[in-house]
Order: sequence, then structure tokens, then C-alpha cells
Amino acid sequence: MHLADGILTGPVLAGTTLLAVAGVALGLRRTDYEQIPQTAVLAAAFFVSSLIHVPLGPSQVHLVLNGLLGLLLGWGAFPALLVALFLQAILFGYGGLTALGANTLIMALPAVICGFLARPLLARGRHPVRLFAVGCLSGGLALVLNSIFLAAILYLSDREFLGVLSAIFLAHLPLLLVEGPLTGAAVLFLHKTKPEILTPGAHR
Amino acid sequence: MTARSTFLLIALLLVAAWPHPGQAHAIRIFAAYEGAAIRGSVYLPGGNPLAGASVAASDQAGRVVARTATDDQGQFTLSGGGGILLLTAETMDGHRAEFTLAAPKLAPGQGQADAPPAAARSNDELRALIEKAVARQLNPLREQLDREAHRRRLQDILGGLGYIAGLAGLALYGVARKKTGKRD
Repeated sequence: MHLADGILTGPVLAGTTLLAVAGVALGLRRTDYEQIPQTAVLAAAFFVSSLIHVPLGPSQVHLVLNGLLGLLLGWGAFPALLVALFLQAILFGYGGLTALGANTLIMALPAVICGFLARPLLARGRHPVRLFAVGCLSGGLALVLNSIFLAAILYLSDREFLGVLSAIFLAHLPLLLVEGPLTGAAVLFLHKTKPEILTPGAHR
Repeated sequence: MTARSTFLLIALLLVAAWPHPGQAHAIRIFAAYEGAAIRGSVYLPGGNPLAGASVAASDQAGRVVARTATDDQGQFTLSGGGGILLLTAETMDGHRAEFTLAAPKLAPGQGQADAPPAAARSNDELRALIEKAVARQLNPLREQLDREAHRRRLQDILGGLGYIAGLAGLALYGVARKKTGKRD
């Protein structure tokens, strides 16, 4: 998720960077004027989230939040995550700058996928239980997809796939318990305070 | 942003700036000579050791001269090859760290080329012993300096948030200008 420089091979770097650029361009086109502030706030939340550690049993986990970003921003998650990951790379040294495209792709594509799957479910009804469940699913699915994409990209760079995938997955398993409910709670909170966020495109 | 969300953001900032160990977003490696051997550690930015990371030492030509892995305490030992070595640590999930290590000026075993008289030989041994003792005292300091240099600071967090706010402002300004331009 924060791949360092020198890990990925040249072709993989080029391919993932191209795909990330395409995603960012699409996200910028689809972002309305009114959505810019909330894109910025969510980018800031993602930027800070990796610093917030939640004690869970013997270890600690940190929030990822890309499921929430995809749910609220759709394709707009691409530019938001690009900016946040870039700042994390230059200010904290998380991830290499050459791998920025790959890291953006690994975080943003699951976000967009979760957004695609979860938003229609939200449109069908606003019952609190449904909102919480959709948020939970979005947060959890995003984590699973993050691990799969990370392992896939490392595999394309001549690493072993299943071993890496199981290691990453096991490391993030406790996080599923926190990220899912937290995304669900965030969705509930937004429905109570600013429900129009959950129906993008309604103002068009 | 509402007052409540601003307050929440500031609270999150304080929690985030609080130093505590965490998962790997990055890894760091530190190494120093102790006598003829290289001893080092691989750790997470918060300070927690990282076990099972693979460590490789390569010379200036890029050839790998030694390989090992960190133990349960995140420590590793390699035999020094002399010259300037590049130590790289890697983990399975794509994290990587580097450290450049120069061999000390006089390592034990490197004495005068010609047969030394008895006094000179013990001088060499003395020098080697002193180097080893000094290294043992200095290495923890060096390690601490290295960690301090990479510490996360509150101003970095605030700087990042500032950049995001600035970018959003620029974007809003740019889109607003385009809108008024079209109307004219």
C-alpha cells in the first residue's frame, strides 16, 4: 500500500502509473465544483488516518478509509488519494515517489469498486441498519481488495503471489473488525448531519 | 466546515501526533561496524523492531556480498567486506530501506604489510580494541540520531493538511473563474 522505490519492475511501474493517471483524469472530470470541499476533507482524513492507531488486543491497527472515500467520492477517490499519498510520501516517507502511481492504483481502484457496488444499495433506502451494513461492507471489501491488488502488483514484479497475499491478509484481518463498523458509523453520522453527501449527482 | 467537524479534526490531529508504534508504512535500517562484523537493526518508524526482514549487503559495483535476515529482535549480523557497502532491507509486502556504511579506517587484522616488530603489533591490537570500544559506545547514539532524523513531526502533519486545503482553494478558484468566463 505504501510500496517503496526499487521494489517494482520498470514495466509494472509504467503500467500502473498510466492507469493511475487515467483514473485521476477521470476523477477530476467527474468532480463537481460543489464536491471539491468534501473531496479535500476526505483526502485530509485519509492523510491523517494512517497516523491514528487503534489498539486492538495485543497489537495496534491504523485506519485505511479508502472504502469510505469510494463510497462518498466515486471516481473522485483517485485524485483525492493521489494527493494524500503524495503528501504522505514526501512528508513522512511512506512509500516511494516513483511508486506513487502504483500506490494510488492499489488504494483508489478498490475505493471506486466499493463505490460502484455500495452506492446503488444506498439509493434503495435510508434505513439506519441498511446504512450501517452498507458502510461495513464497503469498508471491509475495500480492505480485501487492497490486499489482492497489492499482492497482484507485487506478483507482476516477480514476487510470489499466494504467500504475499496471505501474509498481508493476516496482518490486516484485525483491521477488518475496526474499519467495517467505523465506515458504517461514518455513513450513519453523515446521513444524520449531511445526507446530501450520500446522494452525489442529485444536485446536478 | 462546521465548528464540530473542525474540533473533531483537531482532536484527530492531536491523536495522530502522539508518538506510538505502528504497522509498517515504511521500514528503516541502521547498521554500524562492531569490530570486523556489521551489526544492525531493521525497525518500523515508531521504533518497533521488524523480525524476518531480508537484509542484503552490496558493494559499490552492485554485487551482493552477503545476505541475512533479522531475528526476533529485528537485529542482524553480517561479516564486513570492507569498502563502502549498501545495506538494503526488504519485506514481503513491498517495503524497502537502505543504509550506506563505510568501513572504519582500521579494522582488526589489517596491520602493517611487512612483518612488524613486537611493539607495533600490540599497537595494532590496541587500536582495534579501542575502535571496538568506541563503536560500542557510539553506535547506540548513531542509531538514535538516525531515528530522530526520520521522526514524524506535528508540523509535517499540519503542512500536509495545509497543502490539501490550498489545493482545494486553487481548484475552487479555477473552476469559479471558468464559470464566470463562460457566462461573459
